[in-house]
Amino acid sequence: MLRERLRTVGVRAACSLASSGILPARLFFTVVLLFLKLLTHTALRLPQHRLRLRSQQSPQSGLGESRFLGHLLRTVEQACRMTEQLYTVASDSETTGEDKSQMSFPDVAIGIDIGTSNCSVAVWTGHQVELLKNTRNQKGMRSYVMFKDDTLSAGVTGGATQEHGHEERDILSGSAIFNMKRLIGRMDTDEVVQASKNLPFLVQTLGIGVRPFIAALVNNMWRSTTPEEVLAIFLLELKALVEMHLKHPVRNAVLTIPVAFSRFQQTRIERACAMAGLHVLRLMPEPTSIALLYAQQQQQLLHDNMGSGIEKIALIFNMGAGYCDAAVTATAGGVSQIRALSGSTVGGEDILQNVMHHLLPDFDSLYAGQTMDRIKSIGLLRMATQDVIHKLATQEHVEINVDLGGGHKVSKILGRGEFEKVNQAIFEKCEGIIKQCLADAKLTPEDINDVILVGGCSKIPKIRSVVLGLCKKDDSYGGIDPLEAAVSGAALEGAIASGVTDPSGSLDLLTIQATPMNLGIRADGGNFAAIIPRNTAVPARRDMMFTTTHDNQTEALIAVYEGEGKQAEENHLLGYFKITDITAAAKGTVEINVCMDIDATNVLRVFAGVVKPQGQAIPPFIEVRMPTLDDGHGWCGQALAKMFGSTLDLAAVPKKLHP
Amino acid sequence: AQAVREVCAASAAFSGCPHRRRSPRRPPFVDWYLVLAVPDAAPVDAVRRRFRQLALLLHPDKNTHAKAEVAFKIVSEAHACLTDKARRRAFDDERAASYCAACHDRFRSSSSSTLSATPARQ
Repeated sequence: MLRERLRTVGVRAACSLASSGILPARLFFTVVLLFLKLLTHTALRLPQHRLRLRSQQSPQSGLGESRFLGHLLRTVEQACRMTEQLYTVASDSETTGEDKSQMSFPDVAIGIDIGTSNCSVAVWTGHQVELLKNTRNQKGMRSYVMFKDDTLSAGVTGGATQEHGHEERDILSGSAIFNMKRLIGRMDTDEVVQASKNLPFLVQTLGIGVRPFIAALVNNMWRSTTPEEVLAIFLLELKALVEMHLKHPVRNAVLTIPVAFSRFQQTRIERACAMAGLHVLRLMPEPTSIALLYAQQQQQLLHDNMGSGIEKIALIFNMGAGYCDAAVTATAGGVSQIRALSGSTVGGEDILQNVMHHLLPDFDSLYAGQTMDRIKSIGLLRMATQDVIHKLATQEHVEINVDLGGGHKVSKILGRGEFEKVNQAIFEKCEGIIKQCLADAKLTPEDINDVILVGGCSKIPKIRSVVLGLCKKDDSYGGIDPLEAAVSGAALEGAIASGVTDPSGSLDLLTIQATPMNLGIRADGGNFAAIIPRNTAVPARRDMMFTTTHDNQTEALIAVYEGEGKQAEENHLLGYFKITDITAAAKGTVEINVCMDIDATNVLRVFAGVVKPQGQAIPPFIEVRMPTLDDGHGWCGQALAKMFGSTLDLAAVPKKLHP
Repeated sequence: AQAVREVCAASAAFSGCPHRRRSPRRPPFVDWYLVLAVPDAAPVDAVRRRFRQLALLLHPDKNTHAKAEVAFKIVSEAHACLTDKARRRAFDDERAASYCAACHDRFRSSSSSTLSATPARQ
């Protein structure tokens, strides 16, 4: 009887997840085990939950957990064997049943802020945004997934231990994976990945432009995983937490992402969400979600009509553990328009690394390999350093005394001035981001009404003084909680994008997004021709004319890039395709139209085709949804160049300035 | 939906213009002033205000009409052009060259009838 029931649960869970995303077979185990853990530990009671958790309450009491697990493993194995046939049948019936139950309650998207170090989740409750707390009464949850024998636990429920100090130590023991936001969608040649190599888990790089190998320590074995998988497990627990609060399944989510994320990385986030059974309604850059929140506050403050036209300019600076972003937004009447966005991959993690290297100058040579005691030492040093940086926000000098084992000891007094000198390069980078942002928005510091500082690193005095100094302000805008702003904005956007309206008008808001990077194609040799320049309002559609570079050229390669560089190779290759059947003619006479379109959900489509001299298109055009590339971006560009050289090149047609 | 129709109509007002022949190689002329329904001497902040007003009506987050996205793209293009000094000057020159009073009046008279039917849009 029990086995029968368990089998249904296992198969259904696996299949419903498989249907909602591309799920590697190995993740079946982890995912189902995770469900089990939630089942047993958090006593989840969802009335309409598709997994029928309620029926599982009774048998649980009569069984020891190990036997329970054994049963489950067997069922999962069966499930995996059966997936081939069951996949379509079971998932079909599953989705139809689900759709029916979906109709019965309003489906408001939740807002999720996945940070490099902390995550939070919020939801629109009908009249306001509410941040959800986990079982330990925390709003901000540490982002990590712990790998243990058979069980997995993410930071949402707080892992196995209840005490904060223990949690921290567990995270750094090597069996937890964190910082996945910095690793996701990056190749092993990336400097961010290189810098992650001294994290207390395994990050192995070959330096050839493929994804890095990451692994967690389980019973003295490195067990491999991927950042997407780790994120999916984390999101799954987050989703379960929300469902427990709301007492109905959630499907849609708005996630915040750093400005510096490439479109490829965005697809990785979407994939992780799909694995966790979440549909991504919007991915919004963090500062824009804060802009939305600011717009709401201004709207409430003024109680003004739309037409009144007092426009307020705000500079938003967000610096968390992994990324740093800035945005300039113009707000009036509940509409906030993003004028400029810029971001970079510097964050608290870099500050931490710098200070660690400063405290222990021969850090790299000491901890080059990853043996057990080295991991332990790195963990200890990390903890001590984190503590120091936090304390330096309020104190001028902090004393460090930590025994790293193996005869290494660090005892030092670190002053604030010293700390600032060590991280000089980072502060300069922050300055650069803000300057660029102001220049892009064509504004001077005097135009700015408010400076909004958010993110964990906004507590560092030097960061505050740098930002405020650049904007010539004495103090920052105070109405926004630096750690909760992004997630609140995401939840607001979730409600707006789900079509929720509020009679009191507190949802008459809108953020007009902008593109953070130039989008264009390779043309005129190796140059980059931007078709949609950065900071264009989204949704957008732009087109540009190109022509052939050789006589009787019948084919042309469209290589789509994203980035800031003038040379195509400096930018990020998103995808490529070929236009064929161009009528043979002298070079420069054929006109090829390339059009880029970004819709409201930020999907990029590229259309290309030959245009007649009279201006009509010659069908068929090609429509390609970007990015099409999955891996190995560096390679692809080189391979294309090697294969075709310049034979398929295009040249931009100099455009007369027309609006 | 009303606003969507109006913007689309305004952007197409000149496309079928039989009065002036334009070079067929160039895309049809669109009068951004007409799209935003602002006078051609409107200061930048008036253009902005009108754009925000339309954005709140037309953004696909707010408007589920199938053409809302197209309309929003047109409006944001109009805004981008008219708030940039250099581009606005260039546009004014082009507009002077390809402006067609007959089409403009025809559009005005057709839209004024819808305007009176919906007093909400001012």
